[in-house]
Amino acid sequence: MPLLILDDLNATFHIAAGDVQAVRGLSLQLEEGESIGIVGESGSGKSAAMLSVMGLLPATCEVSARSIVFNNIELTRIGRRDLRKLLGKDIGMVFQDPMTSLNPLYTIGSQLTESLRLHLRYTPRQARERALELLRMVEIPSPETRLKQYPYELSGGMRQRVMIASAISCNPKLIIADEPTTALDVTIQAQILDLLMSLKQKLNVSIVLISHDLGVITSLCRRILVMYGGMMVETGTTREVFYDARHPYTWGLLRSRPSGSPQTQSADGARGRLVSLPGAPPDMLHPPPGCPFAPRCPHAMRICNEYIPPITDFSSTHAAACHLVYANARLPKKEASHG
Amino acid sequence: MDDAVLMRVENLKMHFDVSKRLFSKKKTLLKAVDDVSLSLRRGRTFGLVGESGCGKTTLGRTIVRLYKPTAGRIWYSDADLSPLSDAALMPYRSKMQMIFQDSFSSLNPRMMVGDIIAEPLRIQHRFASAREERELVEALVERIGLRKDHISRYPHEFSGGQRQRIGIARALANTPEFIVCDEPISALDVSIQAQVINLLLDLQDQMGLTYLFVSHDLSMVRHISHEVGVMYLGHMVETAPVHELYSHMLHPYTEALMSAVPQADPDMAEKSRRIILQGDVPTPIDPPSGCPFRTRCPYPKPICEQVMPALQDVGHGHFVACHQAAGSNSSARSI
Repeated sequence: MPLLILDDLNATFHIAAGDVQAVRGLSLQLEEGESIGIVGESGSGKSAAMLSVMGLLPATCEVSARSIVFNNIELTRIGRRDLRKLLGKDIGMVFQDPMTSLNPLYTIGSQLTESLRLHLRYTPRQARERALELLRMVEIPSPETRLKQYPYELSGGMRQRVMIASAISCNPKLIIADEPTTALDVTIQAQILDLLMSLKQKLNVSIVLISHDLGVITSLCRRILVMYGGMMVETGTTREVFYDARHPYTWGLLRSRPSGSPQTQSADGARGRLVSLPGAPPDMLHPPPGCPFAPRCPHAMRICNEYIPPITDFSSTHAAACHLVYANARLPKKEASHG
Repeated sequence: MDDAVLMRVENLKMHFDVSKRLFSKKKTLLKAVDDVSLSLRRGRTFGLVGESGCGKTTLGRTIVRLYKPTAGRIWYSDADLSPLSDAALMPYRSKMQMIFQDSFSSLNPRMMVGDIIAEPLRIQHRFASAREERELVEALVERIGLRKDHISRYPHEFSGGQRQRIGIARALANTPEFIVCDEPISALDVSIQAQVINLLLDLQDQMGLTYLFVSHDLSMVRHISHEVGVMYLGHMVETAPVHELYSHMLHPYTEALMSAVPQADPDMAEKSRRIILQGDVPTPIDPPSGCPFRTRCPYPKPICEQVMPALQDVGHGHFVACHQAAGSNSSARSI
């Protein structure tokens, strides 16, 4: 039985201007101890999807799903309070910006012990011992002094380590890391990725890593899910997605970064142009009726603007949602009505 | 001065007074840029990399004289800009422009796009008639890939990538020779980054622009730069032509910085060896004695604690400030 199953997840924000369909029909399965990376641009729905599992989206957002199963419990049928009790313990979250997700008014110690006392009913002394152990696990030097310090006294990398310590404090089965290294410098990012990797092996915890950087995902996950316009466009192992991508958006994503090979610049200094996708991501207030990527897709056909493409499987792990690879494609509306 | 060189910076220092007490006798200095020299060749891109707080943005801003340097010289052709007053700088201002990271805060939300782009023209009194000005603004807007009717809109009506294009049009208005691009793409999505980079490359080829490209994105710097400088704690630790630097890096910090970039290619990610530096960057208010990098360096020697290594020429246009790398390399090459 997989640890997490999402089936046809939808999240819609009701705002004054209308309905923003942040997540549309996302399905996903995650085994115990497995890691998956969700990649996509801002507004592609990658964060909203995971926050809706946690019940952390504001009340203006309507979440619906055929089924959300975590750890054999059907989450769509239980109330918000029970959800909190369940998930605070078994799912840990690491956010992008530790300066805003840690409370500046409380010491590191009191923030680390809070969930231990709440969820595991630890005594103050037990909680303090555990907090020290956690700070050692995330390799923070002189943990006794750190417990008494406030977030502003720590560097960005140290704050992110505290966030990770707090996420693993109740021995969760799953960690959701939402752009955990985006605010950090590369050498500090390398430290944090290294730490997450070793914790994953030590604690056998599953990780959902949300990032816009494929490199970050490759260094931590074996599977990738590519999102665009609130939908899954392609999923597979990192190898399948990197070497055998099937969706035009994935092609664009891979080619819009410099390859890093010396051939990008010829000897006389003439530099090649990057392959860029024209236009901008869709407005989710008025998403296109067909494939969300169709308006920017260099291979778009008429059918792409009319029907949302079905998901085609290439292997047990690799799938893409694109009319180009769909064998049983329907005729476009006009021709179908003529026939 | 060599004809191919547009700007030369000599021993530039930019120190900020960060003393906490108003009447304290002891001054606390933040040495954001400390003794940096570099040459910018005409029509070329100099990529400046380093982590946050290393002084790369301050260096860029000091070169275009947004700050008055504490010491050192900034040569623009044959003129030294470092001691000039604001009034005396005016003719040079139109030659040197800047593109900023955050297009939200660098475009005035209460001005229309046309006025934003025309403002530098008005400050320099370029045109007597409004018609001439409008023609140039329209030409600029089309050149950077927006439409003429966008001129009478406000910045908030545009996406991040489009706003960055408006910032580029404003920088181009006075036909500059030199542009400091300060993290121009780091706030943009990946697919939009490529659009902006391609635009910058096209403009450089068409107009012969010289860029100082400040960025923490090492693979993008490699893609667009001809020469690269690596900064750490206010010092230039290594500088070389791009091929030379990426194939033959000598400074241990450069090595660690490059290896820290995560590889998207699964095969390359498996092969690559990541050097993980311990600890954080020290504060520039109280930097370590001797070599600024010695506290995190994997190979520290006693001499590093006492003597600040100078930038040494190791051949092939390659300069490095490291006691060990410079020595070992020159001996290895001479054999």
